[in-house]
Amino acid sequence: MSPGPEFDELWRTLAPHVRAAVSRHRSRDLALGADDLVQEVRIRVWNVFTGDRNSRLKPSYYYKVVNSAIIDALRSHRGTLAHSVRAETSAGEAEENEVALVEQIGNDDRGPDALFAEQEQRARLLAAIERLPADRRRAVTLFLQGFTVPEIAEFFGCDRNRAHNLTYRGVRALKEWMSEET
Amino acid sequence: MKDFQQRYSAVFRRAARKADHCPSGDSLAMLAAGRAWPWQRRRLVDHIGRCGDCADDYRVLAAARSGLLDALEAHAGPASGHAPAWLPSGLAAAALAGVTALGIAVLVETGAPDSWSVSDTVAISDAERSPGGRGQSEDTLFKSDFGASEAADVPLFRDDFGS
Repeated sequence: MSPGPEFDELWRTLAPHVRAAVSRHRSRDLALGADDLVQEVRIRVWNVFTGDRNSRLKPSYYYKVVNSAIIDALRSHRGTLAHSVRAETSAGEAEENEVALVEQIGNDDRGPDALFAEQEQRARLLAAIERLPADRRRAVTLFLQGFTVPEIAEFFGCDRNRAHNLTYRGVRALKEWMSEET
Repeated sequence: MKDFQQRYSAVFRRAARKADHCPSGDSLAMLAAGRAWPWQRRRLVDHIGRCGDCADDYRVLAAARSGLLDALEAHAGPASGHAPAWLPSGLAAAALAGVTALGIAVLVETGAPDSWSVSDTVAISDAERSPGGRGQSEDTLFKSDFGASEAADVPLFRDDFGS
C-alpha cells in the first residue's frame, strides 16, 4: 500500500532527526546500519499512522511512537537478543562469565595477564562504587557511563552545581580508594 | 574528574553491560521527554547508571529529542486542529468581554443606578422616621439627621420619635 502524501510529508520532517539519532548510537554489536534502522522506524510510524487516524497529528503521541520505535529497533538488532532475558540466566552466570573470559583471551591481543588485571580492576571499581552514598553513587555511575554534568543534573532534576558536587565528591572518594588498594 | 572518566569509563561500561529487566522503550522515551514521574525517574536513572545498553539507548533519544519535537510541532501546524498560539489569550479576552456585558445587562434590567441614589435613600429613611418629613428637601433631611436640629435648639430625639 502506498503511504500517501500526508505520511510522506510527515516522514520527511522526521527522517533526518531519526537518522541523526540512530547514527550516533555507539553500540558495538548492532547488526544493522543506520539506514536499515531508520527504515524499521519508518514502517512502525506508518503502521501507527494508518491505524490511528484520530491521533495522527498529535506531536506528543508521535514523539512517543518514534522513540519507542527507535528503541525497539536498536534492541532487536543488538547482537545479544537476550538483553532483557539476561536476568533469567543468573544461575549459569558464573560459568557463562568464565566461558566468555576464555573466549575473550583467545580473541584479544593484550594477552591473559592484561585481561586478568582488567577484570581485577573492574571488581575493585565496582566494590568501591558500592561504598559510596546513594546520590554520589548514582552521579558517579552516570558519569562513568559517559554522561556530562549538565546531563546528570537533568537526570536528577537539580541544578548543575549540585550535580557537579555529587559527581566530584564521588570521583574523589573513588580515586582515594582505588589508589589505596593498588 | 575527566581523567578518571577516561581511565575507568570503558572498564565500568564493560562491567555494566549486564543488567536486569531493562525498562521498556516507552519508559525511556518518557524520561527523555521529561515526562516521567519522580519515583519512575529515580528508578530509570538508577538503571541507566548500571546498564550500558540502556545508557546508549537513552543517549539516542536525548539526541533526537529537540529535533523531533520541533519537527512534529512544525508539521502539526494550525491545520491539525491544535490550538493556535493566540487562542488562550483570545479566549480569556472573550470571557472577560462576556462577563462585562452580562454585568451591564443586569444593572440596566434592575435599574441599579437609581436604587443607590441619595434622594431615594433619604426618602425611605425619612418615611420610616416621620411621615411629616416626606415633603422636606434633601438638605433639610440631612441637617435633621446629622445635627441640624441641635442648631435649631430642638432636642435631638424629640423630633425623631415624635414626642
